[in-house]
Formats: sequence, C-alpha cells, structure tokens
Amino acid sequence: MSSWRQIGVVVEVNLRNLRHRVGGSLVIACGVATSVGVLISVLALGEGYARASAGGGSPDRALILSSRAWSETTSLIPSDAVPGILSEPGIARDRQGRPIAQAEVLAQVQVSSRDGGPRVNLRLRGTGATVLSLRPEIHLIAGRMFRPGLHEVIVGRAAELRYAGLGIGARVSFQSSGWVVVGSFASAEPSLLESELLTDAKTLLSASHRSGFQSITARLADPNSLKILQAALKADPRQRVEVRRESDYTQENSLGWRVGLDALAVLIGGTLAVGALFGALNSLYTAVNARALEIAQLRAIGFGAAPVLISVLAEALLLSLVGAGAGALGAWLLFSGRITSMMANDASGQDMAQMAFALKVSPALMAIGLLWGGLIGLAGGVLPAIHAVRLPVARALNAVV
Amino acid sequence: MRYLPLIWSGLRRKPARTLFTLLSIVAAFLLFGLLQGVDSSIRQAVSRGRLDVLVTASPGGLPLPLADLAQIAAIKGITAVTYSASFLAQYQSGTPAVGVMAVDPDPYFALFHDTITTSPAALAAFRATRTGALVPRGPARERHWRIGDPLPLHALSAPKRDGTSDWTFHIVGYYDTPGNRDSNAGLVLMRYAYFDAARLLDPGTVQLYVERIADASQAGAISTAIDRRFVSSGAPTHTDTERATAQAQLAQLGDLDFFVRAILAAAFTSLLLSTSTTLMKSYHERLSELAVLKTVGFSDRGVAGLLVSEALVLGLIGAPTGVLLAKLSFDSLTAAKMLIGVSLPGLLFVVAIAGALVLALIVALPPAWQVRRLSIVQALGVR
Repeated sequence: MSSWRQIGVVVEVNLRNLRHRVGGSLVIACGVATSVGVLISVLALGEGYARASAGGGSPDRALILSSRAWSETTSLIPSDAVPGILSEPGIARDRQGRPIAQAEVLAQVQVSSRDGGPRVNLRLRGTGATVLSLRPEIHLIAGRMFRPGLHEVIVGRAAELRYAGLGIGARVSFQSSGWVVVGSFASAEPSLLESELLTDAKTLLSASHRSGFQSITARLADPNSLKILQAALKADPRQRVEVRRESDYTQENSLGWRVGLDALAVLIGGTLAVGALFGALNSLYTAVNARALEIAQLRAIGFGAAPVLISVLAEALLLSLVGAGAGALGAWLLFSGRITSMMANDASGQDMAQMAFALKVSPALMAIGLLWGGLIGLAGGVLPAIHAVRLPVARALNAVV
Repeated sequence: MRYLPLIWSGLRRKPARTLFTLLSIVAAFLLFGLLQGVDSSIRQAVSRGRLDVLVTASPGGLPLPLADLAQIAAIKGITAVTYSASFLAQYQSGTPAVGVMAVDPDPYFALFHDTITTSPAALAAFRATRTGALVPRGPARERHWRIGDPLPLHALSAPKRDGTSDWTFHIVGYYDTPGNRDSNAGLVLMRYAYFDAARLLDPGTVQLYVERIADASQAGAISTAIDRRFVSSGAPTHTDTERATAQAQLAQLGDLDFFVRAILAAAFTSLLLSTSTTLMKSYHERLSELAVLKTVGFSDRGVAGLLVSEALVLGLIGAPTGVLLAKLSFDSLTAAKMLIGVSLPGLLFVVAIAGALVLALIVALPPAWQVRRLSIVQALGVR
C-alpha cells in the first residue's frame, strides 16, 4: 500500500473513532473556541475603533491647523485670517466660485449612555451648513439642518444610538443654555463624525467666548493640489498655519488605541491559547493511550510510523479547527455590529471625547482566528503524535485495555 | 493527613495529565490575575479621590476665568480653593509625553498637603523663581534631572506668544507623593504666573478649580452652590467631589468593564469544562481502584473526599501560582517602564485560593456523587 493511501486509511479510521472520545474532543474544541473567540472579539474592537477613527478622514480634503498645533483642540486660527486662507490656490471651488471649505471650532457636551452608564463627553463641532457638500459622505437621515445664529444642533447616528437624550426635539445643555436637536445625520462609512454633534461655527464661537477658530477643513481641487496649497500658505508671511491631508491626520490618530488593543488581544488570546494547549495535550495523550491497541495492531500489520503520526495530528487539527470555527462564529454572532464606545485620542494622547463605533468581525479576522486555532491544534498534537509512534507494539498487543 | 499518600499517588498515576491540568489552571488564574490587577488598580485610583475635596471644571471643555477664584472662595463651607492649568510636553523627541501643571505654589501645597509634599526650601525657591519647576523625585532620578539644571520642554498643546512651543524651566526642587507611589508619575509643576504671561491661547483662564470643604456631608449642597453662582456668567461650571470626578474620568475609558467580565466568564467556563472532563475520565479509569477502596472499608464520603482532595491539591497549587505569575508580569512591565500604576493587592491571592476551593468542589462533585452509586461487584469486574 502506498504511503499516501496508508495515511488516508489510518486518518479515516481515527476520525471515525472520535465518537468514542467525545469528552476529550470537546475539551480541545472548547478550549480552542474560547481562545479564538476572545482573540477575534478584542481584535474586532481594535478594528472597529481604527475604522471609525480613520474613517472621517478623506484623501480629498486638507486639514489646516495653526503652526505646531498637534491637534484641533490646541490650534487657534484668528477669525480675520480665515478669508485669506480660503482664497489660496489648491482649494476646490463650487459653481459660484466660493471655496468648498469650512472653519470649525470644537467644544463638548455631556450625555449619558442609554444603558444607564455614567455621563461622558461628546464632541460638539461648530461648522457650517456647507458641511454636507464639504463632506459628501455625510447625509441627513432625519429632521433638518441647523440654522445659523440659533442654538440648534444635529446629531450623528452612532451618538444617537448609544446615548440617551439625543432624539429630535430633545435639548442638550451647553453653556447653561439648552440647544435643540433638530436633525440627525449618518456617514456612509464608519466615522468619528457620527459620534459628534454639529452646530453653526459662529454661534458656537460666541457661546463659548472663543476668539478664533480651531481648524479649517477644505476640499482639495484635485488630490495633487495639496502641495500647491502647502506652498502657497508657507509663502504667505501673514499665515502661520500648517496643512496636511485629512486622511493622514486621522490615520495617525487612530494608531494609538489600535496598537494597544491588538496587543491586548494577543496577550489575552495567547494566555487562553496556552490553557487550550494544555487541555489539548491532556486529551490527545488520553486519546492515544485509548487507541494503543488499535495503533499496535495497525503497526503490526505493516502500517508505517508516518500514517500514525499524521492521524494524531489530523485529529488535533480537525478538532481545533472545529473549535476555532465555533469561536469565530460565536464572536461574530455576539459582537459583530455591536456598538460600543471608547475614548478617542489624538496623536499626542489628548482625549478627544467619546467615540461610539461598531465592532467589526471581518472575514480577515475570522481567517486569523482559524489560523490561530489550527496552530494551537498542531502545537498540541506534536508530542502526543510522537508518543503514538513510540508505543511499544508487542507490549501493546498483549496489554489488557 | 494520613490520606496524603493516597491523594499523592492518585495524582501521580498519570503524571503528564496531572501536569497539564495543573498548567491549564495556572493559565486561567494568570488571566484572572492580569484582568483583576487592572481592575483593582482602577478601583484604587478612584477610591483615592477624596469626598471632602471638590473639583470644578467647565462641562463644555472650555477654560474658566481666573476671576472666578474670589467668588468661589466666598461661598460658605469652603475652607480653601486653588486652581491649575495643564498641558502635555515632551522632554526629548521620542520619549513619552510629560504632564506639566501650572499652579499657585502656596495655596496648592496647602490644599494638597496630605497627598503631595515638598521641603520648605524647595517651596520657597519655587515661590521665588518665576521659571522654577518642581519635579517628582523618582522620575527625576531616572531622567537625571538635578536641582539647578535647566529643563527645556517642548509643549504639545500650549503654544507661546513668541510663536514657539518651547518652554524653559529651572529645577528648584523635588516633590514626593507619599500615599501613592505612582500618582502624577512624571507631572512637572510650574508657576501659573509664568504660564499665563507667556502663553498664546486663553490667557487669564484656568482649567479647573479645586476646593476643600469643612464638612464632607455638605459636598452636594456646596457643589450646587458653586455651579449656581456661575450658571449665567458665560462660563458655567460643573462641580463634583474628587472621587466622583475620578470615576467620571474612568468612565471615559470606555466599555471595558463588559469585555473584562465576558472574557473572564469565557476563560473560567472553558477551564471548568476542561478540568471536570479530565477528572471524570480519570475516575472512569480508576473504577476498579475505587471499588477496591470501597471494599477495604472506605465510606462513600471518604472516596468522595479523596476525589475532592485531588482536585483541591491541583487548585491550591495552580491558582496562587497563576496569580503570582500575573503579579510578576506586572512587576516586570512596570520595571521596564511599559506600564505604570498597576499593582496586585494581596487580597487577590485570597480570592484565588477561594476560587480554587470552589472549583475543586464543583469539579469533583459529579464523579464523587457517582461513586455513591458504584456497585462494588460490577466495578471489580471491570478490566
């Protein structure tokens, strides 16, 4: 019999025997399922966070902050400098020749979660009605746009889903005044913006007694005009601002937590994997010993060592892949699409208020989970497989089970 | 005690299996220790917040006028008030950011006298030197910052009027935080007067006020009185006890609590399943042995006791070992500067041992129950 056929036969016989070893098989599958499920869940947390955090940034837009400001909250652009900046080349213009750009200013409001948690801070962004053309991925889903000069806000969908008191008609307190929610908006992709409340910039400026805007977001005339805009602003001695591509800025901001969460996923998933590994070792050793007579008989009639070894590995791999699949499925069922929230940070570590986002269990994560589970299975199967090969044939044949 | 050899031989019957079961118990309690360590540190940080100290800040995240100080001090029940403004800075590029807090020296040290201390000479130097800075003793020693050295810091969120973000200080002394080794780790104290004169953004403002009150039971009433004073001032405030403020700040971290609990539940269920299956399997194999024990005169309870004891020994060795490994991990991460502020309370070992006890009981009971119904004759016949 060729070696491939030998392998095939022994593996098949072994797998058919599995039903006699339900307990041990369950231990392997459940151990791996737990490790893979937890790994994928925490990775999904990091993935959802990174997508939403970077999602608000587009390569077609430029973010203008004052020189050496690391984030919007620490930037200051005086109101009288704004028209000059908006007239620079590189910024896209609409049909009337007006620049598609908006000077913005930031503050925060406090809300509580729908599930009764403590109060947290949400971003209140002062922008303009032009925000819809500036950020075409955003659209109103209910109500209407805020009007300038009035204490009106519109609410992002993620914020409205997660926090209480943000329905249309509700009032949000800011600077001792109740600001009315007149509409809600959503973004086509997950975005930090969906966790914010938007209002009119000048109204917010006067309500918060600020002397200047914090940023200007502008649509680039075409993706290459960033350099033109940068050069023009650097050449103008009156302007002390810096320009960068908005997607670069949000990408930088998203890294901090993502790295931390991925590390956490590996740490916790890894510890559970070690536990699963020992459970697998236990079960597989027991399985091999239970099969001692069967293996001895196979060896006696001429089957080689390799098929026996591979049969044990195949058992380990199959059970762990089943477990990994179950864990991945469980993570997907429990967590995919679930909305959670975390503190969003900018690149310098400053708190940017809460960001509500959905966990995303992507196919890539499921694949990582299966690979992780398979590795655990293989690692757990090696020693028992070698043990199986080393079983003394004659003694096993004589032994009483 | 005289049954120890029996228990020991039971465990040694399949040494590999015993070892692996032990190691999976260690792994599960390692995870428990890691997650609980973070959780306890968070709780500790919150409970350090006092109930007779109030914190006043703007709910809109905006700066508060320094002029409010006099009005706050005039409110009944307040015995002391001070203020601060903070920003992040970098000592050298590539190193982690350092927090800088601008304060008024004497009121600050007076109000926080039970959490932060410094020598009278250092305080006097701080008072006298406009660009003076007090640095925490431990971090200063690691970074080789000595008294008299200049300290140039590049602010990440506090540009200056001269167009740069480079602030130069002169170290005039150290401070200590006796009750808490990790509090304000790395926070540099500077003079508010210097900060306000040189900064570009929001001059004449502070980030928060801190008030000490005579009677902690009046905290709610006094907080409301402060907020009422400024509600129509253009810079409304929100005041809460120091502890409630710490709790709110932690809430900002996010939904972690749910995940921690879910992960712990998953880990423990998995462990329970693994250990109980292993034990039950060992019982089936030892059927004839257990029958012999019963024949020799062991009561049902005695045999059950043996099984429970075996599980107990595994748990009592494995659980504290896992927690100990967690503690060692935290200690080494802290020593390698990758982590601050996490410490495992000794209570955790007690909890681990209790957990091991419960685990042993739960896991050994089903087989122990089946022993009662074991028919000796049947069992002796099994080969």
